[in-house]
Amino acid sequence: MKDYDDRRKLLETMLEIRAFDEKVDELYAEGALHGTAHFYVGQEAVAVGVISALQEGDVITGTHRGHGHAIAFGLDLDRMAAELLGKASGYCHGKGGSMHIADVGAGMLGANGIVGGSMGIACGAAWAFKQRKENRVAVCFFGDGAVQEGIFNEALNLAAIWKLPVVFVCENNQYAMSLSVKRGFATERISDRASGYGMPGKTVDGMELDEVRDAASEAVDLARNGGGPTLIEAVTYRYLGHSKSDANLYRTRDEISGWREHDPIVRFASALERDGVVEKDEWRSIEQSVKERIEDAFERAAREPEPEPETALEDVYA
Amino acid sequence: MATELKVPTLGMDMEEATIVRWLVEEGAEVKKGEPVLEIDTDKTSFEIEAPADGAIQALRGEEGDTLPVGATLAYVTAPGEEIPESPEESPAEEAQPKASGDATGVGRQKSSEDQAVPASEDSEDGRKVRASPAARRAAAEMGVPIENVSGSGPYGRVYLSDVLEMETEAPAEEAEPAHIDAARREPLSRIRRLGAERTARSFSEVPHFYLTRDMEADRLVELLERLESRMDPAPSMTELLVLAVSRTLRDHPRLNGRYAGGELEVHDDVNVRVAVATDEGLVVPVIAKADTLSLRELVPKVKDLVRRTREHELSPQELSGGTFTISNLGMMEIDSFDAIINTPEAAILAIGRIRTVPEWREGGWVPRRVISATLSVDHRVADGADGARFLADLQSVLSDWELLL
Amino acid sequence: MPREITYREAVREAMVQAMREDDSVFLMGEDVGVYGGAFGVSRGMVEEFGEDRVVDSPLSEAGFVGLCVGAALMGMRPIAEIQFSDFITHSMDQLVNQAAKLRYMFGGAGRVPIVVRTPGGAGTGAAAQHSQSLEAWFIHVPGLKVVMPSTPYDAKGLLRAALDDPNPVIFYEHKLLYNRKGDVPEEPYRVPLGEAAVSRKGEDVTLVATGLVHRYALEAADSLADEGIEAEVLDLRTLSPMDHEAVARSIRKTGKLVVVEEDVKTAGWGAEVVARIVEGESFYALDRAPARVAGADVPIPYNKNLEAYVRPSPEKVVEAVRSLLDTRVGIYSEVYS
Repeated sequence: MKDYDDRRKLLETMLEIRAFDEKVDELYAEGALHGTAHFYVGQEAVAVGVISALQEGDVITGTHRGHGHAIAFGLDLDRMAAELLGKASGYCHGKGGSMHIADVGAGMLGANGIVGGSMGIACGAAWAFKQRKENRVAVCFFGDGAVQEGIFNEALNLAAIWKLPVVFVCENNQYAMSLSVKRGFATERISDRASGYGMPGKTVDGMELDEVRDAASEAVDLARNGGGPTLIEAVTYRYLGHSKSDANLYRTRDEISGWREHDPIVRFASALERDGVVEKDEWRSIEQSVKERIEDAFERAAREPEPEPETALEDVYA
Repeated sequence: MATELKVPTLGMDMEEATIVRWLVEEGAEVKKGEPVLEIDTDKTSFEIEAPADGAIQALRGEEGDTLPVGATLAYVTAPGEEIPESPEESPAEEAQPKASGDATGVGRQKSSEDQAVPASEDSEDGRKVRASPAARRAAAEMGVPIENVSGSGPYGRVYLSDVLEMETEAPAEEAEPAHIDAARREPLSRIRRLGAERTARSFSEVPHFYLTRDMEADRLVELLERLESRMDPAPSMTELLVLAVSRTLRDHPRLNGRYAGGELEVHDDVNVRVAVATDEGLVVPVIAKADTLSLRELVPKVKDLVRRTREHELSPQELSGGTFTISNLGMMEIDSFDAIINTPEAAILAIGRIRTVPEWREGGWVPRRVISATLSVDHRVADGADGARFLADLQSVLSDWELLL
Repeated sequence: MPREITYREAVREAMVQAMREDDSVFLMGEDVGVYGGAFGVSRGMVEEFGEDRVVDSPLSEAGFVGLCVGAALMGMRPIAEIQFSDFITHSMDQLVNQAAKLRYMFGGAGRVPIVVRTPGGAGTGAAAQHSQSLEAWFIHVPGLKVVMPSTPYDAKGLLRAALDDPNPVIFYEHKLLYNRKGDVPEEPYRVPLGEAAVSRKGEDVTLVATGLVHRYALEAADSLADEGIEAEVLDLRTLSPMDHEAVARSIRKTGKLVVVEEDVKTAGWGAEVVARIVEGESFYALDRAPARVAGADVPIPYNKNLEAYVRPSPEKVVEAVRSLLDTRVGIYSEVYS
């Protein structure tokens, strides 16, 4: 788990996430990467805001749009880059790829290729913590699309009746692939559903890191103290398409540029400048060194060896 | 529903038939009862008739194909009817050996570009050989060509047990026969081929013993000469023998029976077979209930039977159900011979020509006319005494026809 | 020391003994607590272990199976009971996309030692949505193991072994086996997964079965013995991984294979048994085409006679064996071709 005692770290991490996904986007465009990827660009404040409220021993489950959570959690950039390049030294030895990056031992229980696929798993981790009387919390990230899947209903209900130490964080980025939330829901706020399950619900501005962080802290504390789950809805936006193959036919350039004006990194950097934590425009030089770091990670990863073909047959069974 | 035409059962022992030729073409309109196909059985050939009016379709089998009883030959469809899905014959038993799956779990299957696997293996004489994989492997291991194994399964399919049986029959070492250039090769007719199989089986399975007796034939010859002018058609030696033998058999049930699985099967009817030489081989049609027929009935009946046998016009019933066989080679100038029993019958009587032999009587040699009668008997159902008694009774009749009254 | 108990009791005993020895084992499912389980399998358990370890779940197969997957990932040993095996469909994502694949996708990190217990099969008049045999779906998913015990002895031993197994195991019980009695030792023991058992020796034909219809195969073998046909009966016990070597050994002896399975014939697990024999060295031991006696390719009907009509039975097995040995052409009886 990454250490966020320093507020600079929060900014730096957001910049890492952005640089990483922008680099991945670039590599795909060049044809250097295989498969597809889902970019977290624009949503950085949610992952960093929530995860920075966690302690060592807490666990998270991610989504298919999972690089942000992984980096915020503290996963190694080199190994992440290697996994995206399918290398043997990647987190999953080249067998998982973008949507399945995980470090179970560290508590990052995996990005997940199925929408809502990790909601049951997060409840299970919380169940184990409760049964063992460990003071640990599970955080479950999911999008507005997952709210539409049946598992959302089942997971929230179970968490509520059993008062599981889990925090449900819905990253409402306005779209489930091409379906806008206006068409996908008959209600305005996803957090309104929380009371239906018997748990607290809160909607926050997902572009404001501190707002996210505060709500997350409250929810995590509640869970850790046996108060059960919370549903946090972080309203955010992804600038890039759903995935690499998204032609953005379902939204306008104006909409995208409109959201960029609320960019979470710019806002947070401004806040840090105001508070004197960073110099004016210092964030740009931080951004630059982060970009170099990412560049370096991918260059090194490119030189890593491919996995042996027989490894494809391994680890099916323990 | 379409009417199915199947290979019929044409006699108790019939198991299979060979197609000689189709008399109609695929799709032809036929009428019920119209002959559509000629087939050969182990005794003779005959025609199969259309079972219904309509179009005959899905003709199966070609000239030379052997099919078992019950096999589908064709369907006759009236307008609007459809042929049912044909049951598939078993798939290729000639599949190339496939390696079992390796670590990847992908079997090394031949790709579709590889040569197609033949549907069946044609043996040298052109018959398709169907055999189970186990049978083929055993045959290969034993050095027995699979075409030499006769199969006990459907369509003559060869099973492992058939191959293993061959091992016990075949000599331990078979020397290669010296190769002689044949002037020509003649395929055996179906009648000969099946006759060969039957007699081989009989000769090897049935414990034969032989009783020979010269039958006094003076009265027999006299009767023949007298009836020559009195009856038309006049009876032959064979017909008189059928009369005598059939009546005599009534009192000798052991010789009118058959061996079946450890038991003697006794037959009430006396169905006498006569051996008839035809252009395609020996055929033995049956005179049913011969003992109930008077001479007047018997003579034309036997003559007609023999004629139709030579012309291959017999019905299946006329080839089955025999209980005793008479084979007369007298007209071929044979003195005597030992015949092979038509298993599962119990016995066969072989008759030679009329000979004049000297007999010592009352101080001098007198000429006597005799015919040699050799009775072959299945020793599992009867013994020498049974046979001897039969021959004695037969002799009584031949010497004194009034005994039949 | 053996004593006779029912299949149901044997399953319960395996769970109870495991839960006594290991705190991390727990049972979760619908009505497993005070109700004692829809088929009475967990009767008495909540009283001994409490509601935290014998957990009544809401009607949320996806939710509670998913929860069990997460708990297993964290090192616990959950037993998820799905009340009727037909309802496993609700939890397909959790089993197929999550449990089966997490370890592989994560490059060997993490394990999901979950056991999903569920009663399947027909014969109770419960009709189409409560009578299915869907095990073939799961033997087709790498990462899952599938077990189907036929006897109380095997039920206890295999469940214990499944609980030891670090992989997700789907444990198929049969509603009509619950009351069957058999000798079961009192002490804990394991029957290894992936091993078939020869329940009857014979030379003339191999009958491969498991689950409820293993009984049918044995009954058929008795009938056939009266006709002088000695059948060898193989109880597969585990469907994935399948003990193909045991089948091959038997085929080398008999040369004749008849699979007896309750699931529908098309793409049933019997197809895998046959395919492995035919594609391997054992092909050359075959003296007859392999046969399968299976459920008809139809949903299970309600009417008792209709239900019996579409299911295997000892008589159908006898008929299938006779057809195999029959030398007349075209006599392959239509035992749900």
